[in-house]
Amino acid sequence: MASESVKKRGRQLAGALWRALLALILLLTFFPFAFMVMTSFKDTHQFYHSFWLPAWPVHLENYAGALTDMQAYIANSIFVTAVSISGILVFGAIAGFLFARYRFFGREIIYYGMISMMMIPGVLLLVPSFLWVKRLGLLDSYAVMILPYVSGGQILGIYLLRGFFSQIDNDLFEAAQVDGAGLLRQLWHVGLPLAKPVLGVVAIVSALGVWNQFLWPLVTTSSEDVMVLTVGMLRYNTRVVGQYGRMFAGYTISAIPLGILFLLATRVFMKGITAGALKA
Amino acid sequence: MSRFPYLETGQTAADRVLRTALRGAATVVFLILCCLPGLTLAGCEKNDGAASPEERAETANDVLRVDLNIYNPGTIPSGIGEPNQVSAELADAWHATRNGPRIRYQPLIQTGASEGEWLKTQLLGGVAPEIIHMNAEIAWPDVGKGWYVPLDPFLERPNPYVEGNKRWLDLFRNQALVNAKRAPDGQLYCIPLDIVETGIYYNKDLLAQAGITAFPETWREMEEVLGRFKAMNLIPMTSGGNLGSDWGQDIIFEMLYHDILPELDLAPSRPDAEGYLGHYLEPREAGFLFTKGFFSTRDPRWREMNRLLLEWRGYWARELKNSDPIRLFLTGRLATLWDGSWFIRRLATDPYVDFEWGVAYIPTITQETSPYASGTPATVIGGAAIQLHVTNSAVLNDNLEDCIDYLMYLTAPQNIERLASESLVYIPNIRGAEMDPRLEPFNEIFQRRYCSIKWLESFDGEYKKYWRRMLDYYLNGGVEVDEFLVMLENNFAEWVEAHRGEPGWDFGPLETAWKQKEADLVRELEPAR
Amino acid sequence: MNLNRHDSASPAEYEAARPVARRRRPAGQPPLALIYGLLLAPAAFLITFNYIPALSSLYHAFTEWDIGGDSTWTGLANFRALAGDPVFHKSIVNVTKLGVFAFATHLTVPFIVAEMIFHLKSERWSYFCRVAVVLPMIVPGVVTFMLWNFMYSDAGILTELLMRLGLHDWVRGWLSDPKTALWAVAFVGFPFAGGFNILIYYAGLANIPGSVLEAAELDGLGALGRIVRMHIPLVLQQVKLLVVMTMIGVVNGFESIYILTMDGGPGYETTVPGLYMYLNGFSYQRMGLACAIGLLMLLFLLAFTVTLNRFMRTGDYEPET
Repeated sequence: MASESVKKRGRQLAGALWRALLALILLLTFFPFAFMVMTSFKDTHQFYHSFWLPAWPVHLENYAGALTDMQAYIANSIFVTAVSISGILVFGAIAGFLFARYRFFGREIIYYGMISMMMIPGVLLLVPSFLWVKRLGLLDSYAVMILPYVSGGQILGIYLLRGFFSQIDNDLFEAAQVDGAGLLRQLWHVGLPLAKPVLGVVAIVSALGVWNQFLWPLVTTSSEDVMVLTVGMLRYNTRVVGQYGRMFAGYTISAIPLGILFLLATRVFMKGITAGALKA
Repeated sequence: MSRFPYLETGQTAADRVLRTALRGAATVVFLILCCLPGLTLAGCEKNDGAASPEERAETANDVLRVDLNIYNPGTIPSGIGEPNQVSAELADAWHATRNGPRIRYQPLIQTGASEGEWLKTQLLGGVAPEIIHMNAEIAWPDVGKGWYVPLDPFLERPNPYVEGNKRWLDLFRNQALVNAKRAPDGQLYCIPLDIVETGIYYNKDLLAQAGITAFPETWREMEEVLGRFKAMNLIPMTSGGNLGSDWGQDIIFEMLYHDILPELDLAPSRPDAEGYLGHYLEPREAGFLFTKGFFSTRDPRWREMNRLLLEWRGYWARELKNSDPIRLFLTGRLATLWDGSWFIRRLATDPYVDFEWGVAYIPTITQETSPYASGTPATVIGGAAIQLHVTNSAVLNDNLEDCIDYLMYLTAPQNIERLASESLVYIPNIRGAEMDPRLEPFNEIFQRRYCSIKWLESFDGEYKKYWRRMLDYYLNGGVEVDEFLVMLENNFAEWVEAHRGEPGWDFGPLETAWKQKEADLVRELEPAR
Repeated sequence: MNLNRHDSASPAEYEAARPVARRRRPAGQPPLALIYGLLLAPAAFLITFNYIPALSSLYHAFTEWDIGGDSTWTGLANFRALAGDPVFHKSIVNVTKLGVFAFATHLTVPFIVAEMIFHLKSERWSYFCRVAVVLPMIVPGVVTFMLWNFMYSDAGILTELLMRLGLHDWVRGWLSDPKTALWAVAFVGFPFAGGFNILIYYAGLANIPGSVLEAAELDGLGALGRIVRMHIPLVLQQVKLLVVMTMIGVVNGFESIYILTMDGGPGYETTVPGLYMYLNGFSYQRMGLACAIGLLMLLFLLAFTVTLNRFMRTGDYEPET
């Protein structure tokens, strides 16, 4: 009937409007980054006179210059992240396994002692941690970043992996045990293969966390040898003041490593982001 | 895995993705780890303070290491144009004329540490370059350590590279500046090669559009001109970052206090630096005068200075700190730009500059603007730019005579003018050196007197930071002038208290000098409440 | 288990031939030494890099601590100083403003966006949108803030846009004008469609059993009614999570402010307790005071979480059928 089709038309229109709004929101979200990439190909004169639109010729030397400046930072970030993730996975898997599978004196106390550290946001510990590592003589090294990251990041790993391992059927482990596998063998041959999704999530969440660390490296490192990307970007920024193309080329390059990770493991990435939120 | 066949679970998509990801990540990590030794070694090489065996063997008598800062070959001053070459050519020419060491230019590594830190480490270890650039004031505290060679004996000699020169010291154009660079012990440890100065760059086309033919000479005229620019929807004036308020404060201060400065200067500086440092107020002098009531809420000139600064700021760009004034100037949105002589390089080299420009200076504050105006021209805020020191390395490596000879070579007018004209950033301080005509306006500006105090440089630590923060706040309309003055006063008081009793902050002699001038000076202040 | 078995051995002999069994632990329990040994490393790390700084922070909040490492006990002096410190008060006011704004935007906009994505008919579009909102996260946070710093600069997008539109008078020093600075900081991330939150809401929506959705539709609820009466209560779990996360982000997150204004804005207009703590610790060298501020922030967060738990008792929500 007439009213039915009007209603339907109305709903279709409303639907279209909502979709348009969604598109608008996405557009606004992306615009700064699109601008960044577009400007990264301009030289200063093009930037002055063709602000909103792309300009020809395209200046790829911006990227060459930016890369030279930034490659050390990126390499350092990758190194720190890779080593930290390894440490986190190792500790998280082992400790999570132990907590899940075995009973021993003080298990719950130790466990909650570890988990409770998750509650304290790192920022609050910034000042005393700094003076403490200064006293330990760790300043300005890879260790000063990696060790605290492993220490803090393992907590999430322990939490998630304990949860996971405690859900696995005992039979599987017992079967392995019958075959002569001790604790570590059981973990390696039985536990880890099953835990791959969880390990992936832990790895991604930790990687994101470590990669984006800014304050801690800022206060504990100052030499170019160990400077990571986040702090290096500040230095880089002051070096390229006024050279917008170069500056934005640098910004774009800084997104590439995580972009690669994203491409390789989109689903794990997406799951990881959500899981990271559950950390709180 | 084959030991436990019962564990062969089906391969899910997640498995495959994860496996690929892990493999990819593992490869990347492996590659990075392989490159790491190389990276670390490369990094070590760059930042290694100690000389390698090859370098050590080289140094003795064979090579002079020199850091000319902005004149080093390969440097691109102001980031635009061709890299420097003249310094390399000069080095080769010098080496060709005599059977001595080669010159190797060794730019200072920027490590992010505070100024001079890295150099001081090198000096301590005796491995610094033989000739370095350093601000004399930074070197002064360390002259007793034997790190720098006193140059007076050498300055008495004639310079063989300058025809008719009887005494090297006579070669320097601004003798007052040279004397101002003497360390507290009276000796000169550096060669002030050149001068940096600021000026107001103005867009002649825009000025003409506003109906003005010549840059204003008085403050009142300037405000009128700036007002016209504002009406034309242009930004009338700005400077880079906080420099405008930093410099502006000092310039306005001098113009308002000029008449009583001779009295205020209780601890006069060296008479032979009079032309440059006349009536310069050192931090402790300023502190002492504060305890007597100057530079506080009781001081009407102090209030006037801040009032004028705020009024002037009204004509500046809205955004000062997070801004790119060069872009605004070059695209014709900014009528005048207060910047340093280094900007000449940009204006001269940028092929896209499509307007006529000129350089002027801050106009004079006259009685029309303020009752305290002295009517004297605005003073200069610049000073020595490149100050070359000869380090203990020259002594250790037995290169001293060669270093002096090279410095004499560099300071010959025909050579320095080539260096300066290529870089176009600083004005040579050498008599007879013809400079690029575009730098000429700065030379004229530098004939003026130096400002009597650099406020924000005199303060230190958190007091300086606080003043800077509150000044920005005030200039952006965050607080009224009276409240602001109270904040300044409290900060000033804390600063004085923090330094009282320190060596170098002896108020005794100042107190004696004060007694003689008290009657006159007290009249300049409002009574204490 | 390679025992030599003599065909003729009897069970009893067999038993006797076996080596003496050690004291039996529960099946498969590895030696305690191994367990504790393996736990040693993680625990040592935690103690070194988490517990010691935490306890140190707790202790030094009551001291005056200088960069050299010497600390003198001063009792409540730091707290008394903070109680009378106008900058600290201002920082609390600022963080409250930012917090209110954050709650108003970071909880609602993502929900709306999640709803919009949820209502997309095509699964492919839904996935595309979800990926799209997550994509900006591959840019490091620091770089995003620097990008926004540029956008607020006078060479940046905001000012250029206004100039283009001819609105010269509207142009401000966004980050240096006391009136706009805090707003500028708050608006970083516009339009607040942060991927994180959207995914969490979406996960919550996706978890609603299909039967419930159908039931609601059959009941004749319009779209809006469905959202208000059904979706929102069912995502309360996620809301609670996001509230806690947002609060933690607001209280602790000052990286953005640091990059945008470096020192807390014109005057102290964009100073928040986190930044003030950082400045006290690393700029003014008053480390004891910094620890005191940290302690107060922690107490606040704890109180907030406890209160929230009490008010929003959400277990697994079982919709009544």
